[in-house]
Amino acid sequence: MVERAGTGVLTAERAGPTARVEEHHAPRSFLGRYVFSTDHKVIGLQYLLTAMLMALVGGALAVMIRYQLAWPEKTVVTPETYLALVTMHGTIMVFFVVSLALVSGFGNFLIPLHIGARDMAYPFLNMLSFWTVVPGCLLMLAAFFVEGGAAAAGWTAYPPLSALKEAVPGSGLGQTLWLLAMALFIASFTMGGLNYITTILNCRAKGMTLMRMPLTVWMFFVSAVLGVLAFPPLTAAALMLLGDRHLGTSFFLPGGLVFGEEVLAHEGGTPLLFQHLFWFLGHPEVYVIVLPAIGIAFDVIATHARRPPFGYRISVYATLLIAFLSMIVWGHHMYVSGMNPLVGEYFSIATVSITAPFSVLGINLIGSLWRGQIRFTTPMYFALGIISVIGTGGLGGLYLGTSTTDVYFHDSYFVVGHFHLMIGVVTLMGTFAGCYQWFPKMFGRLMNERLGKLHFWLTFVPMMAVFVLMHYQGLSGMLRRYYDHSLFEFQTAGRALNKPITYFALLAVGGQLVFLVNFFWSARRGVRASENPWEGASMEWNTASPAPHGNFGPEDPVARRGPYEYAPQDSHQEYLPQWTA
Amino acid sequence: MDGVTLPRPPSARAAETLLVAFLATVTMLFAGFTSAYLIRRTGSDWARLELSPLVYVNTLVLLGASVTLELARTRGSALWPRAAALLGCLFLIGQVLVWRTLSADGQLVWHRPQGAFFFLLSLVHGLHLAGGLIALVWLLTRHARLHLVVIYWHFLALAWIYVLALLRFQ
Repeated sequence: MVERAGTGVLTAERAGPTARVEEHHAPRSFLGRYVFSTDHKVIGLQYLLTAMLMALVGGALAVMIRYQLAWPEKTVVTPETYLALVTMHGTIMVFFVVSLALVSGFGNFLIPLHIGARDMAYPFLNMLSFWTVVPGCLLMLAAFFVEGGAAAAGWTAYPPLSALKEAVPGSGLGQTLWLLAMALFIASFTMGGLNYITTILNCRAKGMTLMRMPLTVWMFFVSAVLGVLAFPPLTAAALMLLGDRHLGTSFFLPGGLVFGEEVLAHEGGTPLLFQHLFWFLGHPEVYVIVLPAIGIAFDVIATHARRPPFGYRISVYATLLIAFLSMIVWGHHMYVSGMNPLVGEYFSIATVSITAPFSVLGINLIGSLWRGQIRFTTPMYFALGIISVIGTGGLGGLYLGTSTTDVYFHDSYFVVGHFHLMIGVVTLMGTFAGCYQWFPKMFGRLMNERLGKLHFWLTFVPMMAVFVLMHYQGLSGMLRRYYDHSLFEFQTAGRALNKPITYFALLAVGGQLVFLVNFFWSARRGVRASENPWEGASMEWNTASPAPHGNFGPEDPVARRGPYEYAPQDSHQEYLPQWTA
Repeated sequence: MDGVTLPRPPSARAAETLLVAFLATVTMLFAGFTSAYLIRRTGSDWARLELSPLVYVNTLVLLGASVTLELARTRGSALWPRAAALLGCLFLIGQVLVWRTLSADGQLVWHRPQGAFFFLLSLVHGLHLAGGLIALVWLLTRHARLHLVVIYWHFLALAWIYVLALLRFQ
């Protein structure tokens, strides 16, 4: 019944979601099919490939940072360049790799397939969103080649470094390009988020109630709502920062700043205001990218453990609670900024209370394995890895979320280790689990399992080693953003770990090359996949591999039960697909 | 996991969802500016902003556009949206005149935070209104989704009154 891409299939009207279904032919020209495509699957892959290219840059920056830290005596980079390296590594990885690959890439690819829709609610808006972020990527990369080099104020872009053009070399054109690139990213991400919300609320297949959606879709929904609400205050902050930089306003710049011999004219502003506005986004952003990874873990575990996820409804409610709490805890990034201790106490209590719903998710993930018939496939490896990393990374969060302990840990490698585990390793493993799991729907083939498992071990072990060891460095008092720790006596204790960490980091980066080889080789030469190679029960397996233009056959799919009917008690079948009568 | 089935919703509902979500984003943008304004006005260099009376005339013009669009929605004549577009243009021109007046009497200069906030907030609001004008012109050519454009204009009228109240709060 299902026709392949390129042939005429029935699909929803392109201009907007309607009840009308009309005869529509897939675009035939190269530009229409692969470049300016409005097909959510093509756009999802475009995001994924863009993120891969940006990851090569972000990874190269990480290698340079680690090289400098392990062999500071060789001074491969200047201190100013080192600051630019960490700034650009952070920005590129958080926004242009993880957000693009996981949220924009998999969000686009999976949401319509999962809910039984033929495309996003607004396919043109979707295409526009992708082509907005491409110039953003180019501007961000261009910053490396301008006078003064790339931005060096940290991925948080704190003023005054980001507000005074003459502060450090990277504060000039590099910082301006950084701001413009971020503006394009935010515009693109907002368009994407609005589309996700509209699609999930309005374009679900018949019978697909909210509580019959896979948890991945729930997580994408919550992530989109968070993104749409949390990014605007950063936009406001960015506009004010541009004013401070280029017009001479003083939103974030206090009086009495001296540059060289000269007292600057700025007066009355406060850099702390920027920190508040930044972290009002910055903290929810963690959940914007972590939740989809957890959602993917739930779906992968259900498919490969052959049982429904433990506590579906409770997981949904816990996620909603996490989302709400994540918007009122931003101050825990600023305990040492001189805030009133009472305010710090509030932020501590609010932050630590997130532990409760977050533990629910973790326990439900583990519970989903209970009495399962586990199939140890590559996506399952990565999903299991996610449980482990969430546990390890989450534990560090308790110490950083509590103001009394954070005062010691702030700006140390303990922080670096913690957030890399949560928003680096968890999200990357979620992306990989998604790639291995849904590769058949992308290319009609399976990724190589042997290379996949090798990739898992080369990701999980070295990355855990790198970031757990960084916790110890932080405990010993080593601070982040120092380009040569040997210059400071109080930072010598943890230095011995720098070389081993660098070796592990190189191994982890090398491991990703295995993935790239596997991805591109399997896309052309991998074993051909059937419609449902993993015997999944959710809606995306109700179509050909790869999924054709319009996603489903001429008849609209109908959801007749939940997405996780594995080992049903009242049936002799091993699983009941969501779409069968 | 009950057995309820949902009908495929009409596209109008999707457009409404999109609009509501978008308005939520814009609301958060103004919330961001609000928190910045409330913090910044405690700065040592803060001074009172004397708004020119023209601002209130502009406000009436914008409210007029809102009323006109409401008439367009209930009475359904093609004349009303045109009148609303005209009033919208008048509002934008009026705002530029306010900027000129304020900068002529030395209030709208970059190093004065209250002037900078007025400029920034009215600029952001004006840009969203310009978007509303484009939507209105599109509406005049295609006659569809009137109620969504009306909601957007009402929202912007409210947003402007909010901005004005915020700026008066000093």
